[in-house]
Amino acid sequence: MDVWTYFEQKLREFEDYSLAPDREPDDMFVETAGSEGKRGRVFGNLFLTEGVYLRISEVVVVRGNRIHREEYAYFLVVDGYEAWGWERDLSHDPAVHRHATAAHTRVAARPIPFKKVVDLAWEEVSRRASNV
Amino acid sequence: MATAIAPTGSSEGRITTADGEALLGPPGPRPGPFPQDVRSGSLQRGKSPSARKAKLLLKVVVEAMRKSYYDADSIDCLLRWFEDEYGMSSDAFYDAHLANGALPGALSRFERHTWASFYREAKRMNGRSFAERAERALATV
Repeated sequence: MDVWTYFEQKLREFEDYSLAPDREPDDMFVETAGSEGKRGRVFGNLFLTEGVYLRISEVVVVRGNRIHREEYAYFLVVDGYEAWGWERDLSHDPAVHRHATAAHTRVAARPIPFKKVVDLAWEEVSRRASNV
Repeated sequence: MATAIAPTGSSEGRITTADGEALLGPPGPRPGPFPQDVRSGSLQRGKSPSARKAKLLLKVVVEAMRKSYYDADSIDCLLRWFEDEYGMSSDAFYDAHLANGALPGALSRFERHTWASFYREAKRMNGRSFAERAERALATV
């Protein structure tokens, strides 16, 4: 198990969830030099529709035979503004939290799987489409 | 960056399926930040004009994914970009970040997260570099 196994899985997830990356895979997935495949980053924007995209940043490490997201940030941007976000930020207490409002108040949260973030993002797209 | 898609199994620069359906044409300009299907508004969840074609293309992309790496110099470049963009040092930013102090108004939450993350990474990598140098120095004594 190394980060590249995870990166390949991630790339397939983007396709499965109908997310269009804004850059090539080798700009989005990078291994920490010297980590021997045990540490890396995912970084980029994933478009759901024109004007709506997820900004994604993950720091991942291999622990045993599993991938651990040491840090992450997923922010949904709608028409240039951050609508909401979920984070694991080791410099904050609580480290795992979300930003749910325009004021971006920090609210404690449980770790969120990436798939759940995508579901919430698509719900937001649907909600906005039905309000038009 | 060069595209990660190599013309494996191609004929005259075109990647094709087993039945000859073209997946990719000859190398062209790199796509912009808005993929064509997004720009045209045709990208919808669970729907694709050619799901099979997309799956095969994805397989090619995954198999050809080139490994990229970052090191302390890469992180330093990113920190300099943030510093130039927002007019404050990374040290000052990180202190304000920890204290929930004043930060540039244009700094998004996502950028705040990533700047702090890169800053910690730089400290971690520089610390490791120091440890490695010290280890080498000790080994030569």
